[in-house]
Amino acid sequence: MTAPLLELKDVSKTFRGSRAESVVAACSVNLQVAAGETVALVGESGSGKSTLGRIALGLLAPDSGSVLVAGRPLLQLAAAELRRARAEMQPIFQDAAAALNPRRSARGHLLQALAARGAAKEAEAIALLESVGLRPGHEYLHRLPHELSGGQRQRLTIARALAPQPSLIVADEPLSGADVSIRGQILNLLLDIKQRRAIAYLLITHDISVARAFADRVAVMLMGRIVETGPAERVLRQPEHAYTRRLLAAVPILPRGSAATAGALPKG
Amino acid sequence: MNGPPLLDIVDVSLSYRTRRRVVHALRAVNLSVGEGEAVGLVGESGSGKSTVARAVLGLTPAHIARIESGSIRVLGRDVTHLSEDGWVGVRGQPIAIVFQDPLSYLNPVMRVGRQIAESVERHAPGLAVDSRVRELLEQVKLPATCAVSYPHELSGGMRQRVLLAIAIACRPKLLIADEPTTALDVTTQAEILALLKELRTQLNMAMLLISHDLGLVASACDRIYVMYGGRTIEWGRTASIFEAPAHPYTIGLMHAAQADRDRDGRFVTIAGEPPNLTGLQAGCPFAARCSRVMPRCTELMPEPVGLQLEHTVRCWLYGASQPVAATACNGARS
Repeated sequence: MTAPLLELKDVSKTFRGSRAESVVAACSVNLQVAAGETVALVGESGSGKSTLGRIALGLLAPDSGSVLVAGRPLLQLAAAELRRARAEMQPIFQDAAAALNPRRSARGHLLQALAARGAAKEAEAIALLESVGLRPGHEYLHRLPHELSGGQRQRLTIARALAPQPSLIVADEPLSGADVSIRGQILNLLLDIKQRRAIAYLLITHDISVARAFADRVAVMLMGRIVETGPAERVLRQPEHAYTRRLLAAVPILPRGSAATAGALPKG
Repeated sequence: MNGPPLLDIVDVSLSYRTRRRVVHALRAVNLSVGEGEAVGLVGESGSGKSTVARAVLGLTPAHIARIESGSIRVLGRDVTHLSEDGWVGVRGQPIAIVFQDPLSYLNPVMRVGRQIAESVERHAPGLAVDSRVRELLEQVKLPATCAVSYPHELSGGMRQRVLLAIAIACRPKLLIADEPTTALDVTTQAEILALLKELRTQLNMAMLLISHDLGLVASACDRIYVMYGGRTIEWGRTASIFEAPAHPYTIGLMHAAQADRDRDGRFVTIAGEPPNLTGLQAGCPFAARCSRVMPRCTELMPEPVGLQLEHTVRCWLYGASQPVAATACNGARS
């Protein structure tokens, strides 16, 4: 058996505040993401899911435990190897506007990311823009972030994440900033990428419907611990942990019938 | 129903004017709330739903906002062009409001008990303030000890409860809740929703719940209005809207909200992007994204068409002369 793409082993992280209180953001967490697999990490704010995402990306060092990328310990890699390992794992964040440099054009963002694999060419940048649905690419090349709509900005951050040809994308609430009608477009894009490039996702989300629609496996987090993990279908249909049940019960659902009838329009 | 509705918005158009541009935030918006009723207003960002809430209480920025036509009536009284002094008779009682982000509406350096007391003193003078504050805290299910807390010492859900206590201190007939749970986790959201429901029964209070979340509105409201691009495009009883949504936008929104997939496994989406409300565009604001668009859609906004009792849509797919049959969606028309 080959090693999983990403493996968190017994990872713990505590944030010590300036006063007495400290926050246990991760407590002996074990999590694996296999190549091409989509794992959704669901939980409420403060449950530690973003911390775990940052630890997985090597942006934050855990207090104890290890992070293995393709079987190799991320934290013990030499600088050059670490850089290569990081190119393999790209982040997408919730707030696309904050994740982009306001004074840098789409071209600038993409060329910088492409340089990571020595392919800083304009043609590559255009191809990337078009692959995330910003067509024709050359029209978006010189736009600054404020000249793009919210949905387009998120597409640009996705294009940037794809530039180094990663095998894993850690997406931290990539849809929370988007309106409902835009959400489906971004979901489709992430789905396309997954199918076309066989990329694995660690999808961090508080939105159960996104996890249900998108993930192969679901891990439910509560106060720094993963309380339940398993195939998405099973966890979301027959939750075993009381907290998962409570979480699912709290999600307002559309009344019956709306799924069946929506879509039938009178013939024009 | 006896007497005029609590809130009656008739054909209201409102624009924001700056030196550079004019934004038509509301166009011929219709909405009414009866006594004790729970009404939902659904739309995406920029659809104008918060502008509706603010216009009702005269909270739109006076130097740039202008109501161009139509009227807003509160208990039969025209409040469309009230002076700043005139609004005092509307704000708090009979209409109170809570917002999405309680932290920015609470004074960070004042204990929350005092902030609730201010509302009591202002709207119910003569009452024993301290005991009324305790009673209000109890009503929103906060421990009495919270009175001496500062806003930053409370969780998001608790802050929203404080805002609710301040609102109901005025004993309003109508509570406008503008995205009251958007900043909260789902389990907290469920608690606040249950509390809202309880308060409504206890105080016989109507509610206008504004949200982008169809599921949330469906679970809490008797009737629903759907807004798009500054217009109310479909409204009716909650059950009727969900059983037979008529406007292509409403239908698309329902699919999107449930993350529905089509036969190829793709998520059902609404193509395109939300409209730009700068400049006056003719026709239906959804025309540019609509899969069923017809030439006249871009020329003229259709008038409201009754589909069935208390279900109305503004869309050219539904003929104005004869309402579509009761099985709205399947009743094919040419």
